[in-house]
This record gives sequence, structure tokens and C-alpha cells, in this order.
Amino acid sequence: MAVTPSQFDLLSKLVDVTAMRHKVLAQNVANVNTPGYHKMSVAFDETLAAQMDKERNKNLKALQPVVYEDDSTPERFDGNNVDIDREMMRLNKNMLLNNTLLQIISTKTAMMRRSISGQ
Amino acid sequence: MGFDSTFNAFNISSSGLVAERLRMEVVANNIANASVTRTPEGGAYRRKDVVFESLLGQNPFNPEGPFASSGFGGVAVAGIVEDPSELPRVFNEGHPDADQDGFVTMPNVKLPIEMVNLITATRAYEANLKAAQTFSDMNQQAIAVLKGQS
Repeated sequence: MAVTPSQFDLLSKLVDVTAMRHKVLAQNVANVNTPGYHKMSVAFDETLAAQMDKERNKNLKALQPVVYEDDSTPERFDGNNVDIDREMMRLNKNMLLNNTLLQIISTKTAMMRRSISGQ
Repeated sequence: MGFDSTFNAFNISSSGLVAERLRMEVVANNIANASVTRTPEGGAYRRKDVVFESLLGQNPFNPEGPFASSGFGGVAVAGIVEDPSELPRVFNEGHPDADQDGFVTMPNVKLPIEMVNLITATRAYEANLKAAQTFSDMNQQAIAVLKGQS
């Protein structure tokens, strides 16, 4: 019997990704007026989906989020391609995702605590 | 629970914010250039307008798929076009750009129309913000449901 609740590894990895994504998004917002700055993004969902599709050997510890320079949006005249509205929305999304994951972890541990204490 | 699929409503609202912000820029440009008689292309300033188009999301609607999203992508700016309507000619004999009859070709910017467009863009921006805010509140309430179990 595993000591930690099921999928704890996956949940904690997802929380780590949201923490890193927050740093990247805060960096983008801070540099919204820097000439020549290209926004950075975190790529994790696609690699995670590909990994979960494999039947055996779900080696989640090896999965790392990738921070890359995102050139998908066009540049303004000063060479900056950060969209303040989109970054604020992404911050909001990330905050919600983080809260959801933390709440799931908290509920899981509370259930464990209740089953240990017997009430 | 993907970053881009579960909370896709934020992507849609942010596309609306970006589009309305651009519309405000174009309106501000029209107002600032309302009396410009010399442009780099030659002649008086021509009023500009934005054209919006609807977007489909990256993941089409597939309820069995791993990314269950509605498939909507919000709005995108298709382009900034010039207003082809006629440029008014105003009698102003002393103006340096007057032709031999004393008429000056002025921009086809009408300030009341620009102000209405500005108000429209402002209200649309606020509406998109409100939609995003409401979606955020909905999700917080969903998370709070879990909180009751612990």
C-alpha cells in the first residue's frame, strides 16, 4: 500500500508547473515596455498528454516544463511582443489552476487524515 | 485539466480585450489626425477603421477527446482599412495647402462618429473584462465546493 495518496506525484508536479508559469508570466508583465523583449511561455501540457498516453512506465519525475521564447504574436514598433491583456488573463487562469490543484491535494490529505484518525 | 483548454473562456475574453484596445488606438489616431492635410502618402489624412473577424479555437469540439473545449477562439483583427468615402473640400484661401480655387481637401474624420466609436470600444472592453471576472468567480466557487470536504 502506498503511503502517499494516489496521483500525489502528478498533482505536485502540476503545482510546480503553475508556480514556474507564474514567474514567467510576471516576468512578461514586468517587461511589457522593454524594447526588443519577446515574451516567454511554458510548455508542459502537450508533453504531459503524450506521456500519459503511453501504457507503461509513466515516468512522471522525468517530465520537466520547458520555458521557451514565444514569437507567435507580432511585434510592435519597439520590438516588444507582449500583450498586456493576454498576460493578465493568463495570470488569472494560472491562479485558478493553482488554487484548484492545491484544493484537490488538501482534500485528499484531509480524507487520509480522517481515515487515520477514524472520524 | 489543461492550462489552455479548461479555462478557454479567458482566452476568448482576452482576444476581445486586445481587439477593443486596437480599436481605441485607431479611433485615437483618427481624432489626432482630424486636421492633417499632409500625409507621407500625399494628400489629406483618410479615416481608418478596424475590421474584426471571428476565430475558431485550436481544438475543435470533440467531447471524447483529451482537450474538451468549445472550439471557439474569440475575435481577431482582420485588418485596418481606410474609409473610402469622399474627402470634404473646405474653402480656406490663406491655407498653405489650398489649391488655385482656394479650397483645402480636409480629412473625412467626423468627430461625433469617432466619439461614439470610442464609447463603443470602452463599453466593449468593460464587457469583456466583466465576462472574464465572472468566469473567474465561477471557478472560485467550484474550488470552494472542494474546500467544504476538508
